[in-house]
Amino acid sequence: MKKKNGFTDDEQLWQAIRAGNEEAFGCLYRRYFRDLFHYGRQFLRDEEAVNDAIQDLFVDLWRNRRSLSPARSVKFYLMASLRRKIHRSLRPERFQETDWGNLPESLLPVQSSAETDFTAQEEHFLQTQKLNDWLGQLPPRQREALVLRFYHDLEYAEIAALLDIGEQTSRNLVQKALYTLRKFSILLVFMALEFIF
Amino acid sequence: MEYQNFTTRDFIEDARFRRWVRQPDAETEAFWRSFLARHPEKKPEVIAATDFLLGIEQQVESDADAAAHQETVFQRIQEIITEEKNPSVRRQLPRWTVWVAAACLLFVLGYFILPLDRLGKQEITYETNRQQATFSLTEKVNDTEEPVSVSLTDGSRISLQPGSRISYAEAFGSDNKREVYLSGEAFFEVAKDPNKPFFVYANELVTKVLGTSFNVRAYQNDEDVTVEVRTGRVSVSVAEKIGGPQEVSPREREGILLLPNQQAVLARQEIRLVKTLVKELVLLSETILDQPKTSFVFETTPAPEVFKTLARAYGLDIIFDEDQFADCQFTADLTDVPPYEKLDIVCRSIEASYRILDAQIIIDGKGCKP
Repeated sequence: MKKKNGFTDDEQLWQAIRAGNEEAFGCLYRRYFRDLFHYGRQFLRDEEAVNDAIQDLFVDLWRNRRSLSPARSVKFYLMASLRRKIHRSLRPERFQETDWGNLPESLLPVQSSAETDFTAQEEHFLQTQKLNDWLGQLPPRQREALVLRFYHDLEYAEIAALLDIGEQTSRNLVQKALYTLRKFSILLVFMALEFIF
Repeated sequence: MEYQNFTTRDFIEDARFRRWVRQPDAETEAFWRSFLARHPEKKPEVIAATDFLLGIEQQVESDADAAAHQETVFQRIQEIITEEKNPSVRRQLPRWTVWVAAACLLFVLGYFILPLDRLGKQEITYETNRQQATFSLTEKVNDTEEPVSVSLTDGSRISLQPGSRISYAEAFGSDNKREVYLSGEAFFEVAKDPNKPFFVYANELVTKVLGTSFNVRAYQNDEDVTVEVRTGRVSVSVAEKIGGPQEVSPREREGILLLPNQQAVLARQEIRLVKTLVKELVLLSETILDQPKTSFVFETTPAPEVFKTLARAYGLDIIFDEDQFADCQFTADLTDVPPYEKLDIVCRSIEASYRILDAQIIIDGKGCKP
């Protein structure tokens, strides 16, 4: 949604918030709620849990507004903070950043099967007949990287920073995701993928 | 950039292309249309890339609707923030300030003991309200899990929420006014009787009506008292017993008038009364018999007319610059769309935004003049 509250870009917004401007705060919230909500949903099935995390994020942001440093990308800052928050809420006893891959499977949003076992995956795929759910077929990290790149419009460097991996690795993740998708594309109505390579 | 040599993969990696697919504006639209006109052979790749990006968008957004949550979560955030605006400082302070604070406290304590006593008296609860009654009272208590319906002799009906209680005169309505004391939450449907105004005393808040329906939420330990209006007009003010003239501003004392879909929230600590819109807007046609049903099907309807339709349907005060939006047109069927989302969709389609100020909705945008 385009916001015409006199804050055309994120940098102005950010500065206004640091100066205590509540309108700017609301504006920033409305500008990014959607992105944050859908990002959070990748980790938490429960919509209310996502809402709670976003609520905490913005309350903290406002509380600490005076000590905010200039953010190079506000969106990236918000998404990274949300990811950290959700991560912490999932493992309250551990505060350091750990690999998502180590999380118990039950906490992950999508049923991920091993990348290698394509046949099993294809079978599962046929059984569920969920032609619309091809993103759900991807392993979580591939899915996350793919969505960050093509839905949230993040740069590869930002994806790398979010996932705590190297930039080349983030490119590889997206590449792998596209490759995996293409494997399925024979079954998909989604013929467009044929053109991707 | 040599777009004519782009593969599908190149297109989806291109920020300018993604912007066109996801948030097209005049500039990107013109650019890519003219590109396709010059390079029709690129159409398959462009279509494939578009399908791919829109496919992802659709899947990410398919299982949950962000718009449905946006404003409720924001309201929660605002509540927390407003609460913290009270002087209590949350940030970490240097250690020495603790000693200074302790010293100050000793000084102040002497002064404080008296006012503390007075402050204690200032809180009005269900019990203090009941004590002011000069006649014998009937009490209804809902200790079940379900709302309980209470009928009064004047024909009014009260739906009493679990954990709530009301009291009223045994000879209800024999006086020239009808008075009810509430603790907790209840929905009131008051029978019309212009000669006998109906009063609800709920903590520090007094609600006065002639005949209408509204909800009052006043639990003793809540920080707020809320009155939401469904139909009719309701006047809400702060109880007379509260404070002296210097402590309660005239606005709070004289009260504010509420219309359908508006609510008043009393912050009990500061005795501050705020008028806003209810969280769940209700169509007037659902509650008022002679209100015609509104059609929310719009076809190249000028935006001002759309806003007026929404305003009429929900009894809203929508403020916008009629000239500015005269050239904006809107086409959609919003029949089954939740109220605030209706506004959101209309605003989004004409590149405007809305904000709620007090009980008014203000539309900001630059309009659609060519």
